[in-house]
Amino acid sequence: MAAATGCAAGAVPAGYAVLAVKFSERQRSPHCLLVKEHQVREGTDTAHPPRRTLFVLNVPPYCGPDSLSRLFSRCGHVQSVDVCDKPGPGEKKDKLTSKFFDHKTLKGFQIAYVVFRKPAAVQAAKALSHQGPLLISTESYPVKTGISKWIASYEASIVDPKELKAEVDAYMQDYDKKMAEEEAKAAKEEGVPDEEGWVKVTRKGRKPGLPRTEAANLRVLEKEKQKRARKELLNFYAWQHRETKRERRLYPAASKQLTGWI
Amino acid sequence: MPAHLLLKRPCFRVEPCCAVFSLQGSPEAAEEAEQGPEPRAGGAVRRGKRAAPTAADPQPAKLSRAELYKPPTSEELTQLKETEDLFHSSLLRLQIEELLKEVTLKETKKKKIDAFLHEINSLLGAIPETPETELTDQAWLSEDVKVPFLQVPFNVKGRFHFVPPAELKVVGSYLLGTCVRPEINVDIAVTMPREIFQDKDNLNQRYHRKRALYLSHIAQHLSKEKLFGSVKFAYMNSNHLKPILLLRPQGLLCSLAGVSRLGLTVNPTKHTCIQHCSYSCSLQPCSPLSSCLPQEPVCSKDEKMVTVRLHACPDSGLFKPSRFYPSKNNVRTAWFMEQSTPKEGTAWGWRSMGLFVSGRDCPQCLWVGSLQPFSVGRRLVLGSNKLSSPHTGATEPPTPHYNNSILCDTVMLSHLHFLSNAATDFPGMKDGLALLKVWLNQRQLSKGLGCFSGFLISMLVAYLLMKRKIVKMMSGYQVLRSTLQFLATTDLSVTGISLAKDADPSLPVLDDFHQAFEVVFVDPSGLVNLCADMTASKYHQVQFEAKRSMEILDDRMVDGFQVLLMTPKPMLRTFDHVFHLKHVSKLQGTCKKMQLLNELMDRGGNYVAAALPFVVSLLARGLSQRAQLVAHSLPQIPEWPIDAEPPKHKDVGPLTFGLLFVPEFAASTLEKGPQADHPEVRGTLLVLSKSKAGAVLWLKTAGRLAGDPGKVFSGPEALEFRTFWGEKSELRRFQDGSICEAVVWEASTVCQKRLIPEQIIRHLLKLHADIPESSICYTGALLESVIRTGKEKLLPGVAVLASRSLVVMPAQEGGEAWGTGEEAMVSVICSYDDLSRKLWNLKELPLTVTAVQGVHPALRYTDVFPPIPVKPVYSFHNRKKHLLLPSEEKPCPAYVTPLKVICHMEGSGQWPQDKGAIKRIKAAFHLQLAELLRQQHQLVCRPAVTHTDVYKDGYVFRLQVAYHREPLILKEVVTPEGMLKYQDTEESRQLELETLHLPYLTSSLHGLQQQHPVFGSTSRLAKRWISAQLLSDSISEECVDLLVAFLFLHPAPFTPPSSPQVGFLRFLNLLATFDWKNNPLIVNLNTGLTGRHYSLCWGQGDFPLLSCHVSLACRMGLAVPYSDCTEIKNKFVAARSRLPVMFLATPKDQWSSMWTRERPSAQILQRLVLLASESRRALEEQLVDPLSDQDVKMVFRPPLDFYDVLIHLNPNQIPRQLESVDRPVKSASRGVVKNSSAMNILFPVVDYDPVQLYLQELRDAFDDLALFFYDKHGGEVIAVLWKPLSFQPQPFKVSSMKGRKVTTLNNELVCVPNVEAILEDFEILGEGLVKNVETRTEKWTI
Repeated sequence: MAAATGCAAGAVPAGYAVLAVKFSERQRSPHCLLVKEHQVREGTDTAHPPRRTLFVLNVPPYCGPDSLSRLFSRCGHVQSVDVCDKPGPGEKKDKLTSKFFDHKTLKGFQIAYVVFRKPAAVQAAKALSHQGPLLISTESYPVKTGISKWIASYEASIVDPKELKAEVDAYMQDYDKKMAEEEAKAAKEEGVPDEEGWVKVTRKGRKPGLPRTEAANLRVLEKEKQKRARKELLNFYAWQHRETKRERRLYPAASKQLTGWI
Repeated sequence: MPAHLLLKRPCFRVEPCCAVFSLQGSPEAAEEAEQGPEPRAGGAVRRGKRAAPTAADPQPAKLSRAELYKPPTSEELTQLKETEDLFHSSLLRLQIEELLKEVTLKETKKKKIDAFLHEINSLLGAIPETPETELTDQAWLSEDVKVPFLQVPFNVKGRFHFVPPAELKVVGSYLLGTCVRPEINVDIAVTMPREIFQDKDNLNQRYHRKRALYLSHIAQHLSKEKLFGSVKFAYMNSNHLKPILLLRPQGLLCSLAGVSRLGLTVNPTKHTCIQHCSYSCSLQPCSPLSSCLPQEPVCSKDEKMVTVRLHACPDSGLFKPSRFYPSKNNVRTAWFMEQSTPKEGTAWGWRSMGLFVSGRDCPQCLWVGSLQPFSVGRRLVLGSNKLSSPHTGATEPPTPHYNNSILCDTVMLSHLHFLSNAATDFPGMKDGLALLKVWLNQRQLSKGLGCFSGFLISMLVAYLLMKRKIVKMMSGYQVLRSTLQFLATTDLSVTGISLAKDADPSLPVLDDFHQAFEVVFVDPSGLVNLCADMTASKYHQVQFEAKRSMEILDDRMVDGFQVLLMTPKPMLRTFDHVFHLKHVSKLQGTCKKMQLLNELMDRGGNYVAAALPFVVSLLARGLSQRAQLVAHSLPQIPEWPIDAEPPKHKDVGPLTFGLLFVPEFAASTLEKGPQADHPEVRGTLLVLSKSKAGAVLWLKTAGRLAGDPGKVFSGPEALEFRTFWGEKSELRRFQDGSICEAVVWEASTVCQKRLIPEQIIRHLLKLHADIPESSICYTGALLESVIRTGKEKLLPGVAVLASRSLVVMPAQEGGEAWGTGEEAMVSVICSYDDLSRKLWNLKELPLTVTAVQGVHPALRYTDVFPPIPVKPVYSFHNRKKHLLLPSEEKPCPAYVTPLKVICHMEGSGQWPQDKGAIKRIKAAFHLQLAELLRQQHQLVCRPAVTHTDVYKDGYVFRLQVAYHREPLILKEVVTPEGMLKYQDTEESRQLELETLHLPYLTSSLHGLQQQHPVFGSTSRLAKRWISAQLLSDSISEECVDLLVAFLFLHPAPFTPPSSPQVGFLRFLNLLATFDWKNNPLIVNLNTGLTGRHYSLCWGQGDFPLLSCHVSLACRMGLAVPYSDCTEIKNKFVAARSRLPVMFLATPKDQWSSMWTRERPSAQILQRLVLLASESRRALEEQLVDPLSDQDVKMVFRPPLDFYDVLIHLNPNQIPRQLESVDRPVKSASRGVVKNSSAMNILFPVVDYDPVQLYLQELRDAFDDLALFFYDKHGGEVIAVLWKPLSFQPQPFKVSSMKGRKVTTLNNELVCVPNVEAILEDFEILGEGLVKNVETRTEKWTI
């Protein structure tokens, strides 16, 4: 327990409280969660309202949102837990989360925002530092690690073709609809001047314009350069003439080759 | 004014001798001035700088205008003209000049050596005379000196007394100025006065013994002198008949000469830096030279500096030359047979061996009587020729080698005169000889009995001069070239050459020499064969090397200088298979078996020298089709102190033989002999069985079954064939109907076939040379056991392999072993080909499949352990409906590798142009592919989002659909102005790598395997080694494949490897010696990089390296080799700091080195280089020494000492346990059985390797704190190395709190890693897999 107390009672950065957290009873040295009240200007971070949100640092890899939620539920009702890689404003979660696509699995040590329903819970959570270490995996709520976890994730990785098909179909229908709408809109705007009288030129119209890509731009610039170079005079000044002559005299072979080259 | 002209100008300013080299002074020097004192590994450059102070102005950039534009002086012009005329390119000239500077003797040293020689001269004159005694009475010699001669038989007539030498003359390379460092020898001919000798001293080794006694008396006196650091004996070129006395100066030589020692030292810093700087190994012009030569035990530098060799020689005119013609006899058989008293334990009694049954009066009679069974090379035939007229004139056999050894001594001085005549007014000769000697040294041809010595090459150059193949105008480079050209095209073992000018009719003609010697090169006197001791095989090796070298010199793609003169070629790395004759004493038996008494007498009883040519030609005949070269090491006897007994014949140590294969024939199982067609035979033929190859029918004749095979029928050729091969020869009928004698070797797998030469050698040596198998140590395929799959032999019908073997046989003619996996690979590829055909022809697919490309290493033959067809055992797994899952209680199921295959779909306007939509469409394709494959081909498939797994023939293929425009779409970025830009993103790069570059690489390497059948195995061996060193995750597989491909595509100065082992040794050597820092490794796959030879590149100013030399050459109108390679090198140098530490360029990837972009890191590369050089050293030591306890697996066991933490794993949960280097004796069942063709079986557990999952979690969590190392092929331990930087206390930061804790240090808040908790995390994360965590260091305590 010496290590545990050292962790808890040691130095603490300003504003933070240190919570010792262990995986299970058996673990001897705990990790230290650093927690503090989430502080941002009002309105900038709607997902994590200040005062009600607990900002947690150094969440061990085996401690997922569920475990966190369970750990902090003793301080008050937990509204949501948001685990992420680095601190930042929480995004509003997309409603259209896919079961199969755009998976982001979090790895390693994380930080977390625990949003309570009441501000008082935040203070209660900070006060937990005076108690013994928190346990992530208990008998009633075992957390899977190692072999059992990998077997479970192997099982999860096997998809049900029907479900996948249904999802893909739904997405593609949406997509097709969207594309059709856009096309229709573009077709409607084709050749129609806007309020100031400008007509938007696209690749599709009757007179297709230059594509607005970097490659096309470079091509144009290169052409310009060549044109300019053609117009420029070589050996304009007397010293330029002199030098060319000297070169020829000194290294006849090379200049012969040189002329051949050009 | 163009800047590069300014820089180049000084080339014309400096003295001619430095002119070329000061080139480096321009841009590079300027660059270095900016960069500060960064050490440059480019040895040539650095050395050049040392020479620079002699130049008028080492700071070229500061020259005034007038100086810059000064016209070139006449000397400079001559210099440049010479370069154009006499050298290949100016760069080569620079390199050669630097090399010559390195190897030639300095003037200051010469003075010291001269002083030393004067001392010796005065000492030798002062040696007292001795009274005359019988030759056998050696009591007058003190106890401290032993006669340096094997006096067998001891009794010989004659009297000896010592008289001070009549004359002392320095002979040989020292006077000619052609001696080459690091071994400076000064030869002194000590002329023994005439009064020592008597009549008939030419007989029975009497001259040799007197010579030896003479030297031992000198040794006795000189050993008392303080002047000498050491006085030792040695055999001249390891020839037992010719002892010489070696004198080395005491360390006080400098004080003697009165000069400081500074000039003598060999710049120690340079050598240490070679050892320590792992990057710069190969570029040091001096290092390979000195390192390749055997290192003498530590002795003082002066002692090392020079060796004076005293040769005793007779007064000229003492012997009549006609006595020593090659056909003359000078050793009487009667005298020689004296020794056969049985009391000589070490020697051998002919009589006791029962060779001579009819007495010793005329042993020749025996020879006549004995039937020569076959001709082992030419000599044996000659031997019988000689014997056909045994009683004409002399009854004794000729003793050409013996005669030659005496003649050599008589012509020493005249040789010197001859050579010095040749060398006058010929500066190029000196340089050329130095180059040639280096060339020979690097090929280990210049030392030992029958070597191609420096003296010999000097005589050869003199010969070419005489024949006007070389003229005195030539430069050293041209001398080298012409000599190599001559060697490459002339076979001295067939058409000898002679230096004798006036054809004296009494002298023996070349044919006489050819009768007596294998290689003929007669000296100016017309008497001495300079190549007397050389075997034909050695000469052929020289010839082969010369041929190869000429090819290299003409090849513009390689740096000829580097590979010809800088790269050592030890036997082990040169030859495909190497084997040792452990005990040379067994050659006595060979002499007996081959009846080589005459040769033995001729060689003074040296059975090694006598038997060697016969053994080699025996092997050469046996391997005729298979081997392009059969070479042997030269017997070498080290020098010995004067108070020790002279070394015996057996002290030459093990003899090493090297085989260079013809890949097409080396592994053929059939040795077809002459036709034995005879009408009677046909009738009696019995068909016994059909061989697997299908080409041969096993036949035996009734006659042969009944009794003596030889006499039944067949002509002399067939008889000879049968005698040669012994019992192995059988009659066989071939498909074309012919019936031939043939030998068929048993080998079922590729790896066994590779060892057919071993079978042949063992068989022939046993049969004809009486060498037992136990004395042969064949090291051709020792390493292959680490990539062997499965057991050697399996009984057919073994279904469930409860023990360790995962290997499950498909329904073949069972019972065969998989060998080293080549067969498994072929079967995978067959299955893959079938699958791709099925995919192309799938019906009802909305878009067609345009290309199917494999990307898995197994599909390019380089997977370390190719997958094996399997079928899961249901009961072993947890079952959920139709799903098999690994069970927690049971051991982890066998690892089933998904073989990734990219499936390109047709482009179409229907493809969406949006990232997300493309992904969905691809998923839809995966679903549909699975469905169609199931419907149309009854394959079990399991679709997923990113791929579809197909279970076919017991393999699992992972199909991944690709759309060719997808990478482009991933790259699209729209700038705020609305412009469309293409930018590489991580995702797009990854996709391109997977769908574009990897398939291309795979198919290229697949093609390479077709050309070089051992490419795959070499690569697998290399990968196995890297993984065994726990570094497989630190370097990409593709990178290793390319490195190995390099060995096959650019083998110079070697030939492409034909055995995995030699390939692996060269791989280690490449890793260890390549200068990764300064050079790109260019792998010219499919010869996609072409040299646009001789194109003029005026615009080289863009590329700093070489621009000077190139532009200089251009101005002089010289053609410059300019190729893609040069361009790559130039760009590489310009952008070095931004490029990966290990830079590989291929035709399709010239600038980015995509396979090494992220891995390896600099530290890992350094470690890899270190490990490679250590492994190579250890391995070569083991392979070279056949007597030691060979455990070649040693280099496959990683050192674990320096890791901080070891995580030991539970073997039951390691699915690839059986792939480990030291296979477990017992292991758990893995729940797979022999593949059956049953339909509708359940999908096995695919790609489930708990250890890899665990490693992934560890790396994700603790990446910034530690490095994790693991051998993915069945390693039982994960090694952890803490990163020292992250263990330094850091100030508190929100982003860097991962796995750390906060504490106070000096009243400051800092965070440090929470090590105790992390160590426990290791166990928690690997619950069920980790056995225990062992901490080994306390480094982490802060």
